[in-house]
Amino acid sequence: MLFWKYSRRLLVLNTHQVSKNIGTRSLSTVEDGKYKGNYDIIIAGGGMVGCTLACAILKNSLLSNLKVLLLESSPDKKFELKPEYSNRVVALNQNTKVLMNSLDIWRHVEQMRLQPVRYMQVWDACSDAMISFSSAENLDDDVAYIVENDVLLHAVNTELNTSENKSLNIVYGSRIAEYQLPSSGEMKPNSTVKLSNGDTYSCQLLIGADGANSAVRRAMGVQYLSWSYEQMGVVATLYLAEECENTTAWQRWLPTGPIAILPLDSQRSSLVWSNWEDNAKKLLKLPEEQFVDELNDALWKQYPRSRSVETCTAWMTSCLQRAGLPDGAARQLPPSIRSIAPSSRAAFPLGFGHSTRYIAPGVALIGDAAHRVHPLAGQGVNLGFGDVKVLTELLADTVYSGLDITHSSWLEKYESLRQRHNVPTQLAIEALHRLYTLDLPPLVLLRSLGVQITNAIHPIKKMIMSQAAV
Amino acid sequence: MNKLRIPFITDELSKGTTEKNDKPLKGIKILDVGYGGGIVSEPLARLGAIVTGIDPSQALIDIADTHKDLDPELDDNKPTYIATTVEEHITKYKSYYDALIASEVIDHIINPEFFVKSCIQAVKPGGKIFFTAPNRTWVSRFCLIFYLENVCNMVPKGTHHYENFVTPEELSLILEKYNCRVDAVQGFFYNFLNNIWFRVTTLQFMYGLRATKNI
Repeated sequence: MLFWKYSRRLLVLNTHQVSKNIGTRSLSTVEDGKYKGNYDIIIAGGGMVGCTLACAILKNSLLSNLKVLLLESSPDKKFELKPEYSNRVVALNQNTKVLMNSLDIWRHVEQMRLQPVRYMQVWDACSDAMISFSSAENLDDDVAYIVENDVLLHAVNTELNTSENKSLNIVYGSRIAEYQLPSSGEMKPNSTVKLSNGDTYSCQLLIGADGANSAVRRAMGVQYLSWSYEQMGVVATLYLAEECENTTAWQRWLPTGPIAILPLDSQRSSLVWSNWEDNAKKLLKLPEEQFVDELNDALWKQYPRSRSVETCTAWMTSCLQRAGLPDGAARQLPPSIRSIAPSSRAAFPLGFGHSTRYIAPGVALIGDAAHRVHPLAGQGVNLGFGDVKVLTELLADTVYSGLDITHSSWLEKYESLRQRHNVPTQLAIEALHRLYTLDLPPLVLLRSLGVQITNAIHPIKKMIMSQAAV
Repeated sequence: MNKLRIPFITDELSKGTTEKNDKPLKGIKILDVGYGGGIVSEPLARLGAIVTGIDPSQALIDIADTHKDLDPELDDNKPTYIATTVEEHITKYKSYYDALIASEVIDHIINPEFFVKSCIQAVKPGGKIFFTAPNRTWVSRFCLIFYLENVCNMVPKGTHHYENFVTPEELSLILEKYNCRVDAVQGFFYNFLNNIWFRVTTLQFMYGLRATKNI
């Protein structure tokens, strides 16, 4: 209800822009059926990816004169950094860091907090196979960075507000009533966005950054391939039993789904535990102490193993040893969990989604609106930032060529470049998920040997790391 | 094609500015000879240039004029279109323009030397001249005349006459004869499968030529 109350209120940032666009009209009143102006670009959705795109457009000298409107459905909240960590975190790869650095966002993240991951260990509960990624193999660059969603979003917003821009307008608490997209035959595509309070905006280029349930995508009428994993990700903030440097990310493949422990600081880690829906609901209802027991079990418990798989992996280990390759026998032990931060437990549904088209005349989708993946590889948001980077570059190229910002040549290039990267990544994640939710001995054997070989042969591992880093 | 020829023009004319911005051609006076439907004029105007387009055909002006009104971004800087020839135009605007563009025009001209001479007269000393045109080779004959006109029917039959095509060497000779310096020649090629133009070193098919009028 509170949400509704807020959403009826129109909050507009950047007072200069207000006076330019809607004249002397009062800010807080809701006027029905008002046409509020034409923009070059409207970004629907002010999440991490949408805001970053707005920032990237403003920071690009070729694009900074475009008039941009950012529509965000939630109200403009005051952010304050609490000592308690939020339970929703993302793992950012190097490429995202480079993008954030180029947009001056990273320094705000660093001023707040982040935790670098220097070592990552992924191992199988049904066999001895394990794979590790360490910064030593990567020119001593960190493997990833764990940042809270709130912190990252606030960092982007801080940068948006500090940079001197006269061409960006943000409307918080905007509920979209309707999108009217141009038909394909029109010479000048023009989209209309109608808010539920009657305000109407029009634009040349509409960007859908409105998440997995994208309304822009629905308005485009494109085919959307999706399924639910019938799994939920249980998240929580954990206190470790012992204080340590804590720059290792842990992931163990259980037959019920992967459990990941991501470092936050020397005492705390964040949990992402993918589990079947009914299990996840049970876990949420357990008393906190019992939940911690279950958690430690999930990290430490010996699962029943097939003898033949054991024999084969042991044989493979000895082969690798003889060849002088890393055999994966030297492994680090995961931490024990002491307790969880009070009421930090939550769960969210997991699903797969792929939009067969990312574009329509005058419209483009970015981030989760175009693709959704299982969090097992921590890739979801990084794919979205990759979209931002490519889209901004192509758009700048187009402007420099004096073409329309809705010209089909760059939109098509955007779509093919991104699908060429995103779809294989999505399929690889999907394959991993399928392979690891089974515990049939032949499949366990197959994946164990595969993991051992991948871990031993550096070029293959490097290929995986570079695919995950773009 | 615009994705190649506009940067070919812009990169040269915006030389000296330190940072790329969205109006790199601000204030530069450009004459677009044979503007067609405004395919080159409009993007250049969008980049800030003051564009005058000339073409002998009156019918084209109406098409181009309606098209330029479609883009609100062009509101404060619309290209001007005049139905005239270069030879006529230079009687009023001699040594007036900072740059001249003749994109795919010279291949339709019967007397290229006379045409080029008039073009040079329209430009200020030190001004830039840009030509893009098909070369006179079997490649362009096959692609432009045989393939586009007879197989694809993308271009009406009889649009191109092979005898009128000018090679970059011939064009350079004419330019140099009338006190110009040829700065660069760039080859363009077209991928017929995915409709993408790209830069190449070979001048066999299409080429872009850039020259400066000596002071």
